[in-house]
Amino acid sequence: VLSLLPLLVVNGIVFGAIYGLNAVGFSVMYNATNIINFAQGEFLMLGGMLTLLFYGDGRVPLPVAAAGAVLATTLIGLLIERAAIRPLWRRRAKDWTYIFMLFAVATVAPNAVMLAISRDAATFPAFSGTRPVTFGSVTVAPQALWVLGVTAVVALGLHGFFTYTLTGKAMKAIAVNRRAAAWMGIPVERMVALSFALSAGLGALAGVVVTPLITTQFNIGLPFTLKGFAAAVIGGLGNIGGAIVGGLILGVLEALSSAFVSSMYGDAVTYGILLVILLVRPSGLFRPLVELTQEEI
Amino acid sequence: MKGGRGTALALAALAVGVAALPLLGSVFADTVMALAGLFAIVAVGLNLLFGYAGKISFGHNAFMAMGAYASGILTTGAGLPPLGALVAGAAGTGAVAFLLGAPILRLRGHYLAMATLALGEITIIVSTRWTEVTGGLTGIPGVPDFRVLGLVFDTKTKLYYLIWAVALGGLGLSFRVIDSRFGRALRALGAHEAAAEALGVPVVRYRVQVFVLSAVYAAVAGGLYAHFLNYVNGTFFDLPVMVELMAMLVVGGIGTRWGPIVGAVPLMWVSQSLGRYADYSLLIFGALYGVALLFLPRGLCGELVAWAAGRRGRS
Repeated sequence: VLSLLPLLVVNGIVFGAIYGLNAVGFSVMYNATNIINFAQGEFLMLGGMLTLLFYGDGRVPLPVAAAGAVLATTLIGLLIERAAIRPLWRRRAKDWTYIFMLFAVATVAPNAVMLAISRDAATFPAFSGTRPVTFGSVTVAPQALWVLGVTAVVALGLHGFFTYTLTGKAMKAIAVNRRAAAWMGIPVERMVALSFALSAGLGALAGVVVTPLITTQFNIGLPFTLKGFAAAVIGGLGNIGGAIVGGLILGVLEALSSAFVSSMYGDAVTYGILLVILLVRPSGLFRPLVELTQEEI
Repeated sequence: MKGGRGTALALAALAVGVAALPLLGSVFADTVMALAGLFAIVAVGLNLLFGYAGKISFGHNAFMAMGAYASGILTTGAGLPPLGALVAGAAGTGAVAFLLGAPILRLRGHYLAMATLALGEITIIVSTRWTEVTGGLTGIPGVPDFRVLGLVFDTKTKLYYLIWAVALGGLGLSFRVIDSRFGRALRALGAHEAAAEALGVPVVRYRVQVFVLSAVYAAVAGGLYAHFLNYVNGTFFDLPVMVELMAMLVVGGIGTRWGPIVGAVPLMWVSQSLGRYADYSLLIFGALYGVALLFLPRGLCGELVAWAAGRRGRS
């Protein structure tokens, strides 16, 4: 089995990148709102399923279908914020209300997709063929390189966004102190909406690039929610770079555990890792953007 | 506020109504109401945990599954009488909840919700794959009818009576808990844990105790469910069950005495009346409780109490 090690690690890194992208979605929304999005994985599912819907049997070029799916999911994210979250926000609802509301979203989204699009697992072609690329002893599918490339571009792009643009800095300011940020003239509600759009778009993008490697189905959202959250916690909730690294760590752990421990219980092992992290080190390995207080954990 | 004679009268009236329903002679109605009773039992426990102590659990479907598997395995495999299996299942599930609750309840809010969700998913995955013990996806067929003291509950109507006897007992017990010193401490703990601790509430012990109590409610309902279907399968306890429970609680009124029952009965009717539109069930439940969160934040019971209080205030 040891000779498989490089391959396992590479596979783990590829899926870890997806968890990382999803974890970034968690972190972006958490920073702007202090909300943990129980529907984050649904954005990933929507990205894949909507691409399938638009792509049909190849009538629409794949890049167009994919872009359309990301755009549509972003709009759905905005719609969720406007219809389900903003009313709670305005009446200063208690924390648990958001958890329940997003749990409701995470129930409605997959069932709507199941009824409206398809209940079967399906996939679409890889972006640039399936001829494997060889690096030394490891061969990878070209789609895996797409996953890694997209993750890298997103990580760098977000780093630039939060460091150099006024909007990005404003979003960080809200994470640090919402009231002070509002006093400085930052439009908090608009930033909250932007954070929903951003995490929905990121989730959809992750769903689009990963689908050719796996298959997608209406019900894949929940596993990705739990794994993305695990990655976000490992990386220090709210820390964008940490989220990506947390994803990679989780992906590699998952790949190794399926090979060396047992693959019989599948995702249960990964969820177990999540539980252990939450119980042993809920503040994660890296510094969160804003230190968590005891109240929040 | 305190449950006195009014509450006792209301409980008695509900008992009479429950006893009278089978006079309609509709097996369908008895079946739906039996299922409503099963879910109400779990919802009453969850209400104590969440509505009063403020601890969210998205994993109580796991405790239902444990109770059901305990009843199924102990009656078919070990030949225990159903009542013995039910009690053993409740006790065992309570022990599991005790061991899990101590570490997990240190988490709060979003973290606790996510941790319990993971716990529920782990339990369901393991229950459908640990073939040697649970029968895997085949489940455990041939669970015998519930029987106690020579009474055999071999029809849906008889089980309906049994389930509602347990549900009303559980509801009455929850009222006792809510009005006790323990119940007041739970409310303090739910409002502000640190403040409650400063006032001398043994926070750690109480939050574990209420978690165990709510898990026992779920396990009893799960065990009765196994006898109701004469069959156990882990997929019956997957996340949709949790969605239905959450919807019942939110619609009925979280943290209200009667909320769990008021939510469970109509929603079970909805879900069982869909017929060939059964696929829409979860969509409807999700939408229903999202809308309830927006427009009935206190649930039916809570809004009614607030409305009545407002009227009394004006007159």
